[in-house]
Amino acid sequence: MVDRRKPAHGFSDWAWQRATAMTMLIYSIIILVRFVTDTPAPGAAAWRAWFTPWAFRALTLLFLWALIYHAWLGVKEILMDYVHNTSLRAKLQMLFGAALAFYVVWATYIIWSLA
Amino acid sequence: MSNPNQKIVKRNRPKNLNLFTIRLPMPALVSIMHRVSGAFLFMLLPLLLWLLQLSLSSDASFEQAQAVLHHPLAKLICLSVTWAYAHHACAGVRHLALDAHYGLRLKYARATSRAVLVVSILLTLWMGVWLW
Repeated sequence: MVDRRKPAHGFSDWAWQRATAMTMLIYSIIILVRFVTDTPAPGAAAWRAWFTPWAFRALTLLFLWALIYHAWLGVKEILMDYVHNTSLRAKLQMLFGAALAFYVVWATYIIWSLA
Repeated sequence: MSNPNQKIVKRNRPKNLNLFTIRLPMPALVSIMHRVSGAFLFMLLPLLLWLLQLSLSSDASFEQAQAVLHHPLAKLICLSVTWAYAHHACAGVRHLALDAHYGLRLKYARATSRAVLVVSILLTLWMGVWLW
């Protein structure tokens, strides 16, 4: 919902959408290059070992956080365009926001467990 | 005789908002597909996180993830996710270029949207061939 007492957040949403997009783009290129140059051997152990170096884990976590925040901005934009009933939109934002907040914790846990 | 100064307001002007008969220009097509692919990826996010977790948590769950991925339906989903990601990324890069005022002229806007479609399909094919 729009709170008219606060300044609009349009610019920061716009900027964050692009910043997270760039982060994902860089990660996607890195992972593609690494997949080609350093293809993981078949099997669970090799797959885990491929993910375990701390720099790669940090990058992956950064990517997942960027992706989830980017998804949140996109979800808000789509709801704003198609759901015109304010209270329904607030409820849907809450629902999807809760799901995405859970994904942040979940993604962090998945990557954290590799340590 | 009709008064030439009389304003005739047509209240029943034809509207053409039928999405199945509107022929979208190339940039509009890429724009709506950017949104659709984004929404699709959002909906599949829990599935992808679950697969990532399965593949990484133990040897047994890795086998389980592999079994899931061998299912033909899973392969189809994988390909559509690849396409959605590639399309969303390419359309995103195009968007960033437009933000920086590159490719704003209609001729280039059309050419780059066609390029987005072609490159994302090529990337999907490449992934498809490479994965199977």
